[in-house]
Amino acid sequence: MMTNNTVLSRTEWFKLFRQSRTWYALGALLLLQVILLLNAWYQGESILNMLLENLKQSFHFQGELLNGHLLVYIVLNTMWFHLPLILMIVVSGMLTTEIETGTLRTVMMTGISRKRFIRSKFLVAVVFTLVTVLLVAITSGVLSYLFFGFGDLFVFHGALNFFESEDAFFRLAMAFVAGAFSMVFFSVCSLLLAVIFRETVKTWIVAAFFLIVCNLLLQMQPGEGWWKSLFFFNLNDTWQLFFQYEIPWEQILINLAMLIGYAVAVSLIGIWWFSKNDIE
Amino acid sequence: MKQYLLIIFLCLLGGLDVAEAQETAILERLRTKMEQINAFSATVRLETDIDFIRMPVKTARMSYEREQPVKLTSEDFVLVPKRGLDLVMWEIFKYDYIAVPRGEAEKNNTLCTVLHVIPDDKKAQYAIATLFIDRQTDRLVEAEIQTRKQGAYTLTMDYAKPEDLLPEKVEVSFEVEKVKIPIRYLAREGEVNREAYKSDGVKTGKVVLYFDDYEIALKG
Amino acid sequence: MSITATNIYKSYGTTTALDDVSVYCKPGEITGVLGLNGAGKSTLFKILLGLISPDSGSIHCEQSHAKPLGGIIEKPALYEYLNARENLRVFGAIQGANVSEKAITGYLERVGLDVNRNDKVGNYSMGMKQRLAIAIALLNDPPFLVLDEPFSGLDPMGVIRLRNLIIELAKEKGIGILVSSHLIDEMIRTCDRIYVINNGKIIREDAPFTLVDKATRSYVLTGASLEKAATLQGGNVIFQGGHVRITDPDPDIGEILMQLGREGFTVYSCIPETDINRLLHDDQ
Repeated sequence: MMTNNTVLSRTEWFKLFRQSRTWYALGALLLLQVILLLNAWYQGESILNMLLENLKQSFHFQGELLNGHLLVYIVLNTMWFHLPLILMIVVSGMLTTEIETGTLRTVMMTGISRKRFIRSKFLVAVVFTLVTVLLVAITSGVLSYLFFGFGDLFVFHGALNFFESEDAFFRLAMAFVAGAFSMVFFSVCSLLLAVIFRETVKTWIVAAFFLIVCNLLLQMQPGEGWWKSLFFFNLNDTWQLFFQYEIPWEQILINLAMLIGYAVAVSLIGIWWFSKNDIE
Repeated sequence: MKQYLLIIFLCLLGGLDVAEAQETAILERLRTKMEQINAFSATVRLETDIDFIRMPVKTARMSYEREQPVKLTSEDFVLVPKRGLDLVMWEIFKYDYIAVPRGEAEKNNTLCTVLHVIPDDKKAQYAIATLFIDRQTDRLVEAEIQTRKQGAYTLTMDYAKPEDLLPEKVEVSFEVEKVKIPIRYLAREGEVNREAYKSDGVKTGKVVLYFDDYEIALKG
Repeated sequence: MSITATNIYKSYGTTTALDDVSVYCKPGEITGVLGLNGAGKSTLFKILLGLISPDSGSIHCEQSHAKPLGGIIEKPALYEYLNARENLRVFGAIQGANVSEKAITGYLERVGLDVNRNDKVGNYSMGMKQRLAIAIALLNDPPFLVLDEPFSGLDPMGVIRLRNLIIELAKEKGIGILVSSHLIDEMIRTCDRIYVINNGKIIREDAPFTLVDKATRSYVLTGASLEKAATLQGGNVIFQGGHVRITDPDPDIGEILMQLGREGFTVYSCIPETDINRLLHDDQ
């Protein structure tokens, strides 16, 4: 009987969610959001007051700026280090644990092709990442809107931008979509690192280092013009572009296409590397 | 001869007084016009024109009752300008004042009488107001108001019809300090030159208010 | 129909792991690869199972089968967070084996595991893990099994049960089994034919009884009042409680046992004590 790729992916999915650490990771993300929301609740008003201090000389504000949209935006902002870090830990563990416990050998002894096996890992890593981002989006949205309601979103992006509630919702949703591409990129990178380094702790250290360096380079924003988009670390805050007053769709689409290109390239390298090397 | 000269001088002075009285009368006519408005409400569309704020056009309902502050109600979030909503110039006429004619000037192709209005009471919130009043319709076309504590602002008013009491469009120009350090939560890290934002100084902002659906309750 | 490795070479840097190694195993045969730790047994088995590539040489498996070879390398590697059925289901699904409840029960029964046990495999003893690993290796009914150090870490009862299972699989199911170990006694008891590997080279291929003869450095006899037997009076005999250890490097054990019989003594057991080093170095 031939095994199809769906069965393989389903098996990977089953294993992933039977491991307690996957649930710990998802639990940690949820807890993180609750803490962030509590923090925003405590500090939000004073943060807004500080930001809008000067405007208050000229304007009265009518309506609540400390609303669900702002909190989702705060969650978005703070998630882009924690989320990839946790994703990288879980995703790289999908392979390193199998290497360390020897189950990879047992799997490989079943006669399955290495290419198909590692391809299913990459596929499941991508799907898991997308599901996790969706989960974060849903939980942050539900918690935020439930406790803080809707209203206009106020962000700083070159200028103080105000977006009406519906527009804000759309932009936040699109930011999660764009952010998911970055998360997928980090996930497949961590799986590539797992293929190369094989040991769990070593892979985690390298993955965390990679993430930190990416964030540092992202802040530096090296490069100018079109070739700035060639550097993957410049692409990872593409989601922020949804908070420019006029959404630069063309730039966003180019960036996301580049990110997809990088993710595919990383996956192909991972598959090639895994296939050509011995399973010790 | 000396007597003639004195008479001529007094006549000249009297003529001056008469001219001055004529010019300040326009202010009184404006005041009378405004004071006949007991209450009004209108739909107002707010357009914010400040270079570091980008905001969609907002709509609110504005209501005024004599000697009460203006109220704006909206389902949306709105930045309500603190100044410029006083369409009936209640703040100007609230306390005794001295009016000093400053001649004529053309504003928006309208010949206006220019007057300085200086409050005679320290409780007044403004220090001096320069009013440009349409000579033909006795309506306020522009007001430059120097407040005691909150800087200066300028109101420019457009009216839909010659008989309208209240404007259909008001531009409120004011000075506003640029926003201070954006906190990390709300700013894209890496792109903010914090020092630049601190020292960017004062900017001119403008809010344009479009009024519609006036419901005006007149005295009597 | 057999599995054959021919002229296998494998080196890691300057270290030669396997040097011109050739082995084969026929269906229903239990073939042993005996050697000390680090001799190259696991490397050879990994090559047989396709986990690593040889520098040169070839592997040939005549059976055209979806899974020609199942195996365990070094220790049973299982998903410890899953139960036995789930492990079988996962490994079975990967290779397209029948993973129906009935089939899984069949595999569990075949290796003598409790079919009703539902706790995590992490709680299992090493012997049970070995059995489950064999059940997994048997998924898809491969005609050959490769078991690397299957007796390591097992208690004596576990060793006996596993040995019986291996023999049963080979003799009743006709599966060809390659077993590696450094435990010479177990290999002698289990295998039909044994290769001895040392420093990456096959230095010997013998029947078990030949190896017993070559590797035995002493025999332990158990019997009543053996200290009184005239046959056992001599320099190379040590009495320990009810046991007698004959330390003569080359005793004629058959003759000794016959003489003891003639003297009227009953011998309950005669156990050879082997030393693998005697097989590795001809001078011992």
